[in-house]
Amino acid sequence: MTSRDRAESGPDSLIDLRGLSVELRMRKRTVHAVNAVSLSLAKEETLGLVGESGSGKTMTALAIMGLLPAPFGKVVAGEVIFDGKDLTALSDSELRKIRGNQISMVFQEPMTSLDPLFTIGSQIVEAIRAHRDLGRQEAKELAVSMLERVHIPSPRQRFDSYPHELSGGMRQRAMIATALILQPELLLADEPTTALDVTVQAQILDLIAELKSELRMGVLLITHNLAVVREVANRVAVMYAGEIVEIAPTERLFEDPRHPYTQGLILSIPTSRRVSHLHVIPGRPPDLTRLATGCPFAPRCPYVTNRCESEHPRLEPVSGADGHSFRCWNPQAFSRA
Amino acid sequence: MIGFILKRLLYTIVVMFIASVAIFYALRVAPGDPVNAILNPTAMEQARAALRARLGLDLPIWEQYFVYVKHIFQGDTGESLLTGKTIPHVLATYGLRSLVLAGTALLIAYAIAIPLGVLAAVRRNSIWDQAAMFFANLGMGIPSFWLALLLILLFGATLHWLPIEGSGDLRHLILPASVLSVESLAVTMRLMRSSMLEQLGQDYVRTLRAKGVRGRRIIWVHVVRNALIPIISLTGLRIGWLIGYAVIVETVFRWPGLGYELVDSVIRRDYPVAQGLSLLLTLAVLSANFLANMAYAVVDPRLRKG
Amino acid sequence: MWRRLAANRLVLLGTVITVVIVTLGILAPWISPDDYAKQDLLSSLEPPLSKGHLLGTDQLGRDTLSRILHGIRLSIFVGFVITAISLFFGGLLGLAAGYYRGKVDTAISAVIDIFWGFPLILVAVLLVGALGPGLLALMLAVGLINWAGFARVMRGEVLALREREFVEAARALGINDLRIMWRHVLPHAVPATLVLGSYYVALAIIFEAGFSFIGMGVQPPNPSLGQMIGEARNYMLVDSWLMTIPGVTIAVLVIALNLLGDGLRDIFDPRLKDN
Repeated sequence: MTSRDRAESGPDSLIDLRGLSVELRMRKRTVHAVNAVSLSLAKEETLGLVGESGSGKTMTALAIMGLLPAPFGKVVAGEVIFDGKDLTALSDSELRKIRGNQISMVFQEPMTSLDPLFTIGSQIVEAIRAHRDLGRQEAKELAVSMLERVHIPSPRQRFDSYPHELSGGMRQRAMIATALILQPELLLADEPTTALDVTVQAQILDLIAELKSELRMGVLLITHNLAVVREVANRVAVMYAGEIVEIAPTERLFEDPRHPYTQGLILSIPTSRRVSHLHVIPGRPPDLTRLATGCPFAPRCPYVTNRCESEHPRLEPVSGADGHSFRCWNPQAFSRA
Repeated sequence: MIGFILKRLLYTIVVMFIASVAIFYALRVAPGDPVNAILNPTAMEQARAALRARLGLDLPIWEQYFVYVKHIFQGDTGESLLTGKTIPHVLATYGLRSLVLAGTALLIAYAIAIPLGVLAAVRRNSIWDQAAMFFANLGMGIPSFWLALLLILLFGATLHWLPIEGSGDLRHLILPASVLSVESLAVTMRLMRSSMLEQLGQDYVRTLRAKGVRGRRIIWVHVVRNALIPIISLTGLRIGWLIGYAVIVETVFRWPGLGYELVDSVIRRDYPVAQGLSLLLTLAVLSANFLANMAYAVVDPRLRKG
Repeated sequence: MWRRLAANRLVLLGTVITVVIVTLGILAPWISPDDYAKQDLLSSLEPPLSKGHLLGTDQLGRDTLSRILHGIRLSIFVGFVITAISLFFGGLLGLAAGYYRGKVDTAISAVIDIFWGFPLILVAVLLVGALGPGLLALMLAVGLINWAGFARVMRGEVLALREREFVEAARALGINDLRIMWRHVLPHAVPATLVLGSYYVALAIIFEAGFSFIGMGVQPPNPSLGQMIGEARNYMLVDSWLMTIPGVTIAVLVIALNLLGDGLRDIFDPRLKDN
């Protein structure tokens, strides 16, 4: 833990990940999904967690909630400090009281994430009654007003709708309603817009931002889409091979990315200028069954040196820039070609 | 929905028609006729011929079929050539008995198999799971009639706990229903287990946990309900199969049900009874399938629209 | 593939037992100690392990071991032959229905639906009524009903495969329909049918046993395991071996076949295996 990390985890921190490592232990191999991740989220901050699939971002969120796939998913090191407690040390029944109540999670696929046999209204009520002692009618009223808050038209009728009767965007709104009904302090949103149409994506992001400031929550927004993150996040952390390779306030990341992977990601965003030649990061995602001795990005890095292949780079702060750290032995200046 | 019902109705009528023709022909094609069973074997040939003529058995088969159909539309469904009891009476008595037997067997099977299937899935690979699967495999392999004999040996002859033949009261029902339930029990348990396992891997379970819902509620209110869908849709087939397969069990225990009487009536060539029972059996199977399809639609809201 | 089969010990056991029993059945005429129909009333109802008769004799003095072996032979014959025939015809029709779709499919599916719903026992009893008791009626009945099951499965598989890209690609290249069916579609559709096949063999064996038990199937002196149990019923209290041995044989064979079917399913479609 560097001095940077310690300073980050001040009294303002909503949640604190310290050296979190997650392994998926299966019969024939072990996948090192998350490697010594340290992160802090301040209250009412939106932190974007960006990376390609397999980078460990979803596992990080699941580890926070204690929802790692059983029986092979395990937290093998580190802590998750929330509300003065280490979540990784809590029992499942203790965690259950926090889930949906103080920390909520929204998932990528709204269709399969809701039980098809129950109305969306009843599923919201279920979330309420799991934590509060409310009568059915009271809970229903609460649910209906939440449906209204997420801008679902005719909320009272929609209360009795089944998931398959709603469009993708509405389903995701229903999921958000379920997640936020008890006004949690932290929302983990795992690719909330990836499965939706482009036009709807913007609406959902706006909704999350709106509710975030209304409810004064912190949001961990997980996505592989940098463009999404630029719109809504205060800070962005880039993950690769289960580690954070760069973290910075949003605009800084886009103006002055230091890590070659981040640079590659930013260059990959299509713009009106760069239609003719799309940038591509060469190579393939890393094999997580073996922890790399050097930098995990080395096989694909255009600036790789011998040191990169043998020594694992540490997370170092950028001098003169507040809150900007990255890990690279051979950073190059960023040029928008 | 309406369209579906109509289509099914049409299908049922067609199948019943084909069945009635096939049954009619099958019974009359073979040598031997009911006359021998009705009359004394030493009766004169004249008496035989006279009886045949009176029963209309001397006509060509297709003509007999038309007479048969004509009678049905006139409301005359005939009577047993041997006992003289009207066909509706026969159908009702025997049919009801078989229904009781099959129904009880299914009840026993589901009452045991469903909770065990849930348990096996929830405690996967535990001793419960392995034991349940072992017994399921056993249940699917053991021939029911052999099991019946073993149980008769054990409970009836040696321990004298339960009666071993005939019908009458609840005690007579226990052994045959239990034996009949074994195969359904095994199949249902396996199916419930795999259905549960499939559901447990679904996304909505993850959402439920993320909402902080209690584990017990997740299993019994959500997962089980979803997992039961394939079982419900299979119930119709199960009932049809049970009613048919009950023949053997009925024979061993001398339970006077549909199957037992059907075999007997075919052997003694009591055409009206054999036809009536066969058609009833066909209708029962068709209805069971139909009900299963309907139940499926009721249980799964995704199927209700259109 | 063999390694996966061996991985599950239970399945391996099932396969081995099936193979052993099948072999015994095939070799029955050569390895039976006695003629299965030879009666010897002087040594009737001998218990197992008595002189000259490893498994004892029945009420007419016939050697039980020989009868069991020939009974197995018959069961295997009924089970595999009938299943093979109905698999062939059912598979063919299912393939045609699934591949060509349209009117062909509607017609074939209608026929399948009609046969699918019929209770096997009814068809069997009626056929016995028409043809007299015996093997022919039994096998015909089983065949008539089972083909529908195979047709359904094959059709389902083919319908799903048809949508796959490689079939579209083959058609776009103008390859002959039959060739596509044979080389591309069939190899993928067959596994599911084979899995069903193993279960159907078990079903046929149990059905034959039950039917012969009530006297409508195989007639004496031809040995059938079910019929042996039926005859043994009268002597149940005196000599329970006579009833137990054939019953155990059937149970072991059928359970082994079911395990084999499970194994086949695991190999061909690991997705179905509970993960």
